[in-house]
This record gives sequence, structure tokens and C-alpha cells, in this order.
Amino acid sequence: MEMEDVILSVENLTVDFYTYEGVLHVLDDVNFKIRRGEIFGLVGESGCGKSVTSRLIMGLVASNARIKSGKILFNGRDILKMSEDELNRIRGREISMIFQNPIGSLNPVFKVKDQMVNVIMNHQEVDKETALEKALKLLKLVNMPDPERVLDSYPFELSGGMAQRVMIAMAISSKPKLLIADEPTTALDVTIQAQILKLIKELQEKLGMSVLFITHDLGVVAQLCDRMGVMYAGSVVAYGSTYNILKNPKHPYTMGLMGAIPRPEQKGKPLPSIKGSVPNYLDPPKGCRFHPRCQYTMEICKREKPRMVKVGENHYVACWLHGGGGD
Amino acid sequence: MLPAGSMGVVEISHPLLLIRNLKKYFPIKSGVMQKVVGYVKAVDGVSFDIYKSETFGVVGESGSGKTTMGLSILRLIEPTGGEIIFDAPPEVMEEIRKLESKEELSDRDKRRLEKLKEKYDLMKKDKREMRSLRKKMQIVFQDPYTSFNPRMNMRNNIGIILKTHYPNLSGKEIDERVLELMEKCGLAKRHLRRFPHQLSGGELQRASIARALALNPEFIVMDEPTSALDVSVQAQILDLMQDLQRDMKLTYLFISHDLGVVHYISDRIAVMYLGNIVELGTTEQVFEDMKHPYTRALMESIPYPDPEKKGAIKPLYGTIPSPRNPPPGCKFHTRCPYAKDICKKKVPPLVDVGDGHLVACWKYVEGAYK
Repeated sequence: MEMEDVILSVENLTVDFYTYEGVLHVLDDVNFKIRRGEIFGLVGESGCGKSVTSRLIMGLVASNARIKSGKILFNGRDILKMSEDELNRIRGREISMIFQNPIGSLNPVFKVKDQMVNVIMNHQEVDKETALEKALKLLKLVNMPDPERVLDSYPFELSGGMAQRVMIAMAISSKPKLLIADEPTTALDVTIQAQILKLIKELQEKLGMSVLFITHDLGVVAQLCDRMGVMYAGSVVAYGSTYNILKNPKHPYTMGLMGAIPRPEQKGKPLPSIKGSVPNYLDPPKGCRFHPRCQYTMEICKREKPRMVKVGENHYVACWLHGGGGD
Repeated sequence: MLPAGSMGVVEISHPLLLIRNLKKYFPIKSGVMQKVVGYVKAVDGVSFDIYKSETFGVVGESGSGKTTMGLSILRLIEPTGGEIIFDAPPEVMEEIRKLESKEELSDRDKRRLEKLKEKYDLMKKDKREMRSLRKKMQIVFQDPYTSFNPRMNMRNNIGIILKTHYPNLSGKEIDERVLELMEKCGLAKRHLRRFPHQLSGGELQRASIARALALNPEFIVMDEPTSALDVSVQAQILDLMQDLQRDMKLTYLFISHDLGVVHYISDRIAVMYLGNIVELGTTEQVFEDMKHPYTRALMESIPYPDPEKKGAIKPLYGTIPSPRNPPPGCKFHTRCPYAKDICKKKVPPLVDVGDGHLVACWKYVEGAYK
């Protein structure tokens, strides 16, 4: 991949968290790149480290986190080395974020227009009136029904889908280069989810931004994302084109996830599930972190962490079954 | 009336529950005097049968009334009206359905029907009778984290149910029974002394199922039992539910917003929209041969994990209207691509479009829709 195509590059990111219970070894050598103008999906189950990764990209490092190694290069500059001032120039302008719980992400005591005007005036040199006009334009851009009324509403008067549209409108107000969407449709009904997915796709094309789409739903990734990464217990275990990874999964974890989704063909048969549960980060398994749940475990899996190997066109996995020793 | 489902097990079976015109209205109160100014019709007259040992799936968006319906059937909230005939002998059920299907009822028939229903209608039971009936009907809730008393360990959380219904059991007998239940649901002895916060979501949901089984029920309402869980854990729970159903001949009312899960687990399915059933049929009828525009829209909104179908989702226009003030006529007409004048004025009846496949849409009422 050419360097100039890449908007964001996460390299060898290893992060520990210090808690009263001990040291949690959460991220373990995370690697992925997001290209300009693509939607990149990061999938994984609860607690696999997807949200921690996305917050680090925003430069939101918890006070108990220790970055042991790695870089997060945004446009070639390391976010982890930036000062708070530099970060504030990037946050909300070049990288912005939307969250799972849209109603909870808005301030309940201010009207939508006050919050939107506040965000716009924070990032752009405009007066209040212009900001209000921009807010209305943005709401129209996100296909908000009855935008004038919504501007004058409090967050509790909005439905989940409307609140998520407001969040998206705020997030794109400064035309960011990268939008991080952390499970933006998980709390929404399937019909509303379909509307929001379509909207994100439209806006991404219109504004030419990149999107990091974080979700646990492989269906959403299949519908939306050009490329994807599958995370398990703090590492990216499969990486590449969405089509290849889902059509022809190679990592046992991806295979397990695909198998666990109830489908019409499986009716009447037991669902193959991945046995066990996600490991404890206080004392994660040695070697490949998936080995205690993997049905193909070999001796080497218990000792050494596999590296990413190419298993097909634009398809990489970290698994000893496919070599795992690196190229 | 409804024929038996097409799945092997169900065909020879008889109804366990007849639900007739079930309603739950929540009053909207306003002002200092808390005057009732209107009603939210959360469940607005639903009728269907649930057969013994089947899984009856209910799908719909948030606010469609599925959970309220589940709670009303168990009388965990008091329904506003309707009949819930539960666990009558097969011949009584048959006679009731036969009388109901008659075009015109004579006075004698009417009295007979009333008499038959009276004895088994949950709505006519008093508190004491209900309590004893609850042994036969249980519920598993959506959020396992808040389904248990956080200050009791799992042994007591499950044991308290046994103690309530069988006060003569000794502590040791309860210990044994709780352990047996937990093992049946894939938990181990080490979980007994743990507190709810020490268990994962999947383990807690297993414990919820163990608790629901404690009194040997016949009927369990599963209210979105897997929607708080990850997909790999969801698969484990769905497998467990099916194993238990086979072993214990359980009947499930499975409520979910996830069509994939409902398709996988259900024998028959009802699709709800704003308190009404808009389509009802076997899983094949509803999924392979869907009739109602809302059902179709739901299906087209699901993102399938198949990259070849990329871009296949078609969003439905608009959002579910407020149940405080639902649209007149067919409640779906505000979002329906096929809405005609009649849809805005008159409520469509639930009509049989073949083999007991019921649809409430004017498109399928002859002569109504041009």
C-alpha cells in the first residue's frame, strides 16, 4: 500500500492498563491501516479492545493506561506523541467520532441548536448566526425530517435514530478526514439501522472522508465496509478485504464467528458455537490468545504469538495453521 | 382457525395457550389531578394460539408491544382485557376452537363456550390461583445483569424460588436441586457460591434459564434472551434452549427484534407493529412467502453477513409512529409504499391467505384494494 493512500496507520500498538486488580494487558501488537476514502470495519466481540483502540486514535488515553510500544500515524504524524494543544486542533476537525448511545452523547439540558452551534463555533471562525444556518444545513444534509423543529428540541424529545443523525451532523460539521463510528447502530432498530448505514455511506462518498466503523455485527460490515480487521482479545487476527475474509474465512476465530450466526440453512441443526469465553486480560493466554478456544490448537500456538501472513489476495491472518512465522 | 405448524414436532400437538383479543392500555395522565387524558395502546387486541412444544416467535421494532404482550400473557402486568386460556385438556381446547370457528353461535353454544373458557382463563384467576399456576409459566428476561438480586449468591437467587413454592424443602434438598438445574444449563458447582457480578453475561443468562426451569414449567416466555450477548455466546444459549426444549417438552414464546435468530429458532412467527399482529404464519410462510409490506421492509433492512449481498439493504422510510397517537386506519400506512385511500381510513382485518397464513393488509382483502 502506498504511503500517501493511507490516512491512518496503527503500528505495533501494545497498551497495558493499571488497575487495583493488577495490570491488564489489553492491546497486544495491534496493526492496521485505513486508506483515504474507504470505510474500514473493525469487528470483534465485547471486550476485544476495539473501543480502546478507537479512543487512542482520538488521543484519548486513560490516566491508568501505559503505552508500551507502537505508533498511531494520522497523516504521517504520531497521535500518541502530540501535545494536548495539537490534539485539540485535530479532534472534531480532522478526526471526529460518533458513539453507540446517541441520546446519552448529547447534553440533556441544552437544545440541539445550542449544542450544534457550540460545536461549529468551536471549530470554525464564524458568528452565531452563520453557525445556526450551518447547523440547519447540516441537519438537511443528514436527511433529518423536520430539521427546524429538531433544532429547537431537547435531546429527550428525539428518537434514537434522530439523535444519531444529530450526532452525525455534528461530527461532520468541520468536514473531517476521518470519522470514527463506534457501534453507531447497535442501539437502533433494524429499520433505523438500515437508514443510518445508508446515510453514512452517502456522506462518506459525498465528503470523501474515511470511516473507521467499529461493530460486533458481521452483517453490518459485509454491507458497508471495503476492508476490515477482526479483533480478538486485543490483537487483529484477520485483516484485508471484507469480501475475502467473509467469503473465505481462514482464521479459526473468524470461521467460528461466521458459523455462530443463525442462518436459515442451519434451522433444526445445532449452531456451531465457539466454546469457552474471552480470556481475562490480567493473565491472558501465552502464545496465540485464541488457543484455549481454538479447535486446531497445536503446540506452537501455546508458546509463540503468530505473525500476520498472507493467505490470499488482500487477506492476512495471524495463525500458525497458515504459517504464522511471518513472511 | 389456525392449523398446526408444519414442523415435525408440532403437527401432532394441541394448543397450550389460546390468546383472544388481548389488550393492554396504559393511561396517559396529565396535570395536578393526574387526570387520564388518553391511552397508549401498547397491545391492541391480539389473538393467536401457541401449540405445545413449539417455539412461537414474535418480532417487531422497539415500541411494537412485544414485551408488553409477553408480560400480559403471564399477568406480570395486568392486561386491560382479553382471554388467556392456558393448559386446558386437548379435548376442551378443540371444542373451544370448534365453537369459535362457527359462523353463528346459538345462545346454547355461547353459554357452553363461556363455561369451557371460564375454568382455564388466566384472567379469571385470583392471586392465589395465579401463584400456583406460575409454576407452569416462567420468563427469561433480556438483561441478565439486572435479573438477579445482587446481594444473593446464585444458589440463593435460584433457591429462593423453590423455597417460595415448596416451603417444606430442606436446605440440603434445595442445594441439590439448584446444582442439578445449574448443571443442566451448563454451569458448575463453582458457580453456586458466586454473586451475580462475578458471572459473565452468558453465564448469567444460563442461570436465568436454570431459574426459569426450577419449577418444571411447561411454558416459558423468552424476552429477547440473547440480545445482550455476543454472537458466539448467543449461539451457545440458543443451542441450550433447543436442547432443553427437546428434553423437557417446553413451549417457548420467543420475543426478539433479531429476525435471523427468530427464523432460526421458531416454528411459527407473529410480526407485530404498534400493538397489532400484522402477519402470522409458519416460519416458512413468513420468511419465504411474506405478504405484509412491513414484514418485507423488515427483511430488507437486515444486513446479511454475505459480502455478495453488499448494498442489498433497502431502508424503510420514516420511524415507528408514537403509540400515544397512532395513525388511523392501518397503522403502517404512514411508512407503506403501497398505501391507498382505504388504508388511511379503515383498519385491515387479519385474513387467511392460505394454509393459516394470516395477514392484516388491504392488499389481500378481495375488492378492497385497486
